[in-house]
Amino acid sequence: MKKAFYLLFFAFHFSVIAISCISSLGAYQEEPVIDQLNKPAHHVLKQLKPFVKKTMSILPKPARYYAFFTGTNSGFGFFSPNIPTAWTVYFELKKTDGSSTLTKALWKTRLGRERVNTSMNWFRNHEVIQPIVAQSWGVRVFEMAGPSVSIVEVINGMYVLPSMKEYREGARLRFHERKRFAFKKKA
Amino acid sequence: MQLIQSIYKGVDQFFFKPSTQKNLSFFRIAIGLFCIIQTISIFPDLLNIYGANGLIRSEILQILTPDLLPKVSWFSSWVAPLGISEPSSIYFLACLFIFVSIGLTLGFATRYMAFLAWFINLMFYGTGNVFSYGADGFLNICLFYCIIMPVGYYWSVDSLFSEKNKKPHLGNTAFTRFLQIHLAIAYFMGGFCKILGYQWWNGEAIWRAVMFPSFNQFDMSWMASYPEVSMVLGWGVLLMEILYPFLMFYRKTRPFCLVGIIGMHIGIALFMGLHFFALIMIILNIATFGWPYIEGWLQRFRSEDKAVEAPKAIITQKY
Repeated sequence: MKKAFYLLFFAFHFSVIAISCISSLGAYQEEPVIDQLNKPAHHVLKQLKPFVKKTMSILPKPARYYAFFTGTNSGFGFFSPNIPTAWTVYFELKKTDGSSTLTKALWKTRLGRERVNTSMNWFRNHEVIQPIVAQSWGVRVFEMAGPSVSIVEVINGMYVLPSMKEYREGARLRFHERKRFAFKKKA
Repeated sequence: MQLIQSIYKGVDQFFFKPSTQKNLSFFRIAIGLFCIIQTISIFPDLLNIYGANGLIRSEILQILTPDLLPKVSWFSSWVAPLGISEPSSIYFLACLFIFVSIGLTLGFATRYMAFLAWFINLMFYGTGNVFSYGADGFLNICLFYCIIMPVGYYWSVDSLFSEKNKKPHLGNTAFTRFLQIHLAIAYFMGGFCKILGYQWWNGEAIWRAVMFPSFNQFDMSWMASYPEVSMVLGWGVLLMEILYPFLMFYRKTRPFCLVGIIGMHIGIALFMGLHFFALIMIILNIATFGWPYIEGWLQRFRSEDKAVEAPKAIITQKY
């Protein structure tokens, strides 16, 4: 009886994981990502589109909650299909005396920095809310930078890394500014 | 009929061979310590990440994160009537997490501690969902597994008051298999998704991973002059991940795959700076497939000590 219970639970658990993995492929069928796939993958995923779309709906709601809470809804596709271009944020702090500093690291820990780097990918993908999020960063940076700072400019952009071949030909990593949001402290 | 019987026997042997292996207890201790170290490492930045006035204001985070997940703000509102401010409540919750993680490590009221650790971790995960990465996802899974698996049978305060650890039990092998299958799926999917792109085939993925400023730890620009190196490494990652289920379940190739996969994670820690992600994956690999080797070495050391008295056979449990 105990063995049967174990096996039933395992079957349920791994079905949830398998379904979550298959449905995570849906993200690869979205417009910007599918163009970055190699030709055979592009073809196969296009064929599988209707199947992948239906997969998540197979799971009843309680099972979806289960996947959600236990973390089994992850597709495990880390650093795939390619390594995306790295987005980042800089802050230009302009002081009342006219001087300015460009800073990146106001976080106190390495792990904090790592997490902020992770959130950059999410920021890149949500263009609509970028101004409010930038405002949120601006306010926090004002709090952390002290009273002498009167203007904070949030500079968003990405690092463009040349390919190995381009690097050999002399191209170098460069920062490409995409958006700039300026916030002024009220008198 | 005979076929059904042999399938039944095979499944029974695979999942339910009684064992006294201590790999799940190692898993508990390692995950408990992982929680403690990770929380201490992020402690000075707690308010930046999880605070209502953090880098991303809580009003924005609440819109972006799923309603279902418990949040740190729930705890702040529960303790607010006691006069505890929101920043203090976040620090208090982090301390509580460290406390229950110590309980989990020691194996004191193991299941309750595991449940509390899982729930508190879920609160942090739910609040800072936007800031979470691979290690957080795996930690959530691991803490959930600490609730359901028999992780407190050995090397625990609980075991001092229980007779359960004296005899072999089915849960041990069953849940070791359970972890093994989960890890095999995770690596296979990781490999499969990488195969879909082109950067892992031509070595550009390795180049990008070590060169982007967010990961870059050392000057790796020399790689551009030797693209074969990154190509071989990229292919190595693809092969190891895609073939992980086969190489790990086949006993003869397991040690090589284990060394390769742990090497890959050490590489991720050293060259990309993702220490916690690498650490949790190494813990998982040791707890699932690597433990018999460690137990074998430990027994060899012990038997060498006692060699003068009477040589004993080294018995390692075989998965």
